[in-house]
Parts: sequence; C-alpha cells; structure tokens
Amino acid sequence: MPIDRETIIHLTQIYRMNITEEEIEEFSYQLEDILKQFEILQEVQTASIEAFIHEPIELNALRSDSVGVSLNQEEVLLNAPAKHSNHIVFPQIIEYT
Amino acid sequence: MNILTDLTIHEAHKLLKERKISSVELTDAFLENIDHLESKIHAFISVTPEIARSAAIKADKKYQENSASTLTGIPMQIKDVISSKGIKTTCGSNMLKDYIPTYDATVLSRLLDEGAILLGKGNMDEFAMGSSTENSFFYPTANPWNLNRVPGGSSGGGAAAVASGESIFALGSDTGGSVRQPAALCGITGLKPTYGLVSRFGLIAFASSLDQIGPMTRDVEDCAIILNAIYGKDINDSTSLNVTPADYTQSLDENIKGLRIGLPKEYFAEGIQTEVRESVLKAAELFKQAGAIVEECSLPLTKYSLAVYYVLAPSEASANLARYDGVRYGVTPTNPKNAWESIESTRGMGFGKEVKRRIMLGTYALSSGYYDAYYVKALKVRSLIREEFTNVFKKYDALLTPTSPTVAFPIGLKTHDPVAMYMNDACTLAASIAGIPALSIPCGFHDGLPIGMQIITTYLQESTALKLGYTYQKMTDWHIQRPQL
Repeated sequence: MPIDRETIIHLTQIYRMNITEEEIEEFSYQLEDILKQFEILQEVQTASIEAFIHEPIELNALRSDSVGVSLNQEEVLLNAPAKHSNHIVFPQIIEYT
Repeated sequence: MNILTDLTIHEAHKLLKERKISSVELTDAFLENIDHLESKIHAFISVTPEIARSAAIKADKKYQENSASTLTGIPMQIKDVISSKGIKTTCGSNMLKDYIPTYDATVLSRLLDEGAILLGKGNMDEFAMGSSTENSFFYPTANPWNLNRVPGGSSGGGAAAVASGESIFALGSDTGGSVRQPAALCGITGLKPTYGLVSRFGLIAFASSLDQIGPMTRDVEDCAIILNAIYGKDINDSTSLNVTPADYTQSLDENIKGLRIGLPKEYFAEGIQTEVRESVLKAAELFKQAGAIVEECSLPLTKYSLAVYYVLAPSEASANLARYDGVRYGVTPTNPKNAWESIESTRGMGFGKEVKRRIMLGTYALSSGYYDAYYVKALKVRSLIREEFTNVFKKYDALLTPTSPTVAFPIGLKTHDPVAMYMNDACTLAASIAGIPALSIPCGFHDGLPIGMQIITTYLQESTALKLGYTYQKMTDWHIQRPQL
C-alpha cells in the first residue's frame, strides 16, 4: 500500500507532531517498505478468532479507596518547563469568542 | 581488569559475607572501571558515584550487623527507562534529557531495599525503540567484544556494562527482545519474565501489552537471585500477577533428565547465520547428553511475528507517547504562538527519527480505514500465536532457539534501513507477543563475538528455563569468558 507525502503530512497533523522536509521524504519510502511487511498478515484466516487479551491478567483489578500519600505540589511541578506561582505556564488553549 | 569487577553476584556476596572484601571496595572497583572504560563503551547515561559510595557504607554496616541479604552491597546499573527518584531518567531521549522522577520504580525500590548499590543509569535506544542502542539521543554504546560493533538493544547499555565489568548486573526492559538480544550480542545472561510477573510501575511506557522488566547478569544463578528480588504483585501495577511465592534459586539443579526440549524448525531456517545455528544445535546435543529429550518441532505462525509486533508495538507507542505535550515535562519551544504550536514543536524537537517513524506507523495502523486491516488483524493473529505456543507446550517443557539471527553487526550498518534493523528481533518477538518467559544465555563465539541461545517456556515456568540454563552453564564456560579491554 503506497504511502505518499500527503499521507505523511496528514499523519503528523492528526498526531500534532512537527517533522522536517527531510523526514517526510525519508519516511515516505521507509513506511512503505515497512507496510509491505505487514501484508503477510492477510494470509492468515482470522474470521472466527477473538482479538488477543492477556489471559493471566486480573481484569478489573481494583483496590480499596483508601487515603494514601500522594505527590505534593512541589513534586508535581518539578519537571514543568514553565511555571509561575505554583502553576504551570502554557499557551492559552480555550479561545474566547 | 580488576578481579573484583569480574565477580558474579553470588561470588561477591560470599566474599562480602566472609568479610574478605567490603562493599566500599567492591563499589570503588566498579566506579574505577567505569572511569577507565566509559570513554570507549558509553554504557551509562549518568553515573551516580556519591549515591553509590554512601549506599556502600550502609551496606557494609548491614554485613557487620549480620542483617545483609544476597543483594546487599552489590553494584548495579538500571536502564534509563526505569524511574529513579531524584536521578535523571532520560529514556535515551532529548524529550526527557532533564527529567527527574519524583518516585522510584517498584523494581528499583525493591532492589534498594535489599541493599543493592546504584552505580548509574544505562544507555538505551530512545524510548526503548531499537536493536542496537544507536538510537540513543546521547551516543551509541559499543560492544565490549569489538568496539566497532553494536551491543544490541534497546538495553545495550546494560549488556555492555555487565560484559565489560562496569556493573555486576543490570536491569533492562524487554518489549520485543530488548533484554535478550543485547544479552546475546554481549555474551551475558538475560531474562524476559512472563508478562505481569514483574511490576512495571515506574517503567516509562513504550508498548503496554508487551513491556516487561528483566535481569541482565553474568550467569543464570545471578538471574534467579535478581528475579527473586523483583517479581510479584504490586498494588501500583494492576497488570502485575498475584503469583504463589517462589524461590527461583531452588530450581537451579542439573536434574534435567526426561525434560522435553523442542527445536522449532522455523528458528533454524534461512536468515540465521550458519555459526549461530550450529552453536545452538551443539547446545541441543549437550542437553541430550545430560538426559533431556530433544526433538524438532514446528511453530508455523512464527513468520507472522514480525508483522504482528510492528503493528501492535508502534500502535501502543503512538498512544503512550501522546503524553509528551511539553506541559508537565519535556522540551518546549520558546515563544510558541499558541498551544498547538507548542505541542507540535515539543514533539518535533523532542523525539528522534526512530520514535517519529514508529509514531507515524502506529498512527497509520490506528487511523480510520486501517484499524481493522492492521491493528485488529494483528491482535487476532496474536491470539493464534499464543494458541500455537499453548499447544506446543503440551508436548514440550521448553523450546530452544537462537536469540539473534546473527552476531553483533558493525555500528552504522543498519541505521538507514529500518526493515533490516527490525529483522534482528526475528527470534525474540514471538515470546513477547505470547507473553511467555524466555532466557538468553551465551552458547559460543564467531569471529570473537558472542552467540546467544534462547530457552522459551510456557507461562510462569521461569524455573524450567533457569534450570536448563543453569545445567548448560555447568557443562560449558562461554558465560565466564570476558572481553579484553
């Protein structure tokens, strides 16, 4: 299945990730090569097969709702690239109309 | 080479217990070796000498008070994808180059509680995506057996550190072979436990249905010692298994008479280097001589593993890595025009090429119109692969295969060909897909480079893999060979 320049750009737009012109060029060839490897899966008959889940895993693993120690404000903000007065600074997300 | 840095955990513990060495001496020997070798090997992203020395003093006190455990005073390296409180945890990425976790991963706190000594954090492919450690944002790691070769990946820093005498053991993470393949390429022992046996709390996520933390050691006995320390239920990881308490060192005996070992023919086919194939087949002969029943078997779905893995892992990665928006952590642009530009630039600047490639692949596989054809299809084939293993393990106690199709390849050889790079994982992917344990141990050399073999067992049967590995290491000396540095 060919993967063209427009598809690469579309994917970066829906993921919200910048890529360079050089990367667009490189990825369009490489992703096509990789996707060719996936075509082999179409050989396998899976009409009546359930999608995989890990069997030994406990489903709906819940713990009691008890009060415990959590991160304090300083710890939560420790790695924030920009902060001011115990708040994270980030460009405005919601636009006023 | 300092003799102390050649020790295994069990040898060092014996000497510490008998007061023939102190933990401070042992730790200093490793720190000196790190100073001496790091400019050539680059196995570490960060080294923590002050933390190590202070912990070593405490460990020596525990020995004086007779309150030491097997891991007290034992130096270790932890892969830089495992969170360490107050110590940078970069994931090998520009995105997290300044990230300092505010808590320890459960595996790390369990090892620190035992008195193990943290020497530093291990180099790795960015976000554990790679098979050569060349995708590290910082620098590639060299293979201690030949500095022009890769150490494997993504836990290449751990494998190189253990092989070169920069650490007694390391913890790696394995999503599609990232503990086993570097272990094979560097001539050490590495285990990927059953999915869920070891807590992943504090492990920075790559592909959550596949990720598992595992020990990288100098022999099987050390591997069992580390597994004892890190396995078991963790309230902070709902996927961790509530298993019956076990002592994995109890399985270390040479009584393998009657054990049934299958040699899946698909793992010995075209694409496997002749010397690798021959070494594993010689090992099979040794098992036979030791009383095991060895015969050829077949796992016809093996050929689909690569496609299943490279649909599922990037799909999960694209979801997991969406958390990197530059709000709470990560690199950020200066003066972005708006929120979206900030997020887009953060990802553009923060992620390297391989990570971007896999995000694109995963986003494609999960996007409208392709979700059923790729993602759901891969999940269904995954079910079939799991079922195929379940059936083969009705007849066999273990499967024996090569760990990597080839010995270590030259640095730079495959960096521009992702498909060729992905092929390095051909032998390790199926066990990851099925969630079953697999142990890699050294079984020979070719051109001065180590060869590894893989022992795969069924769910929670780590003991059988360890028993077979232990028996093999009693019969051979590949695991005690050390590179000349």
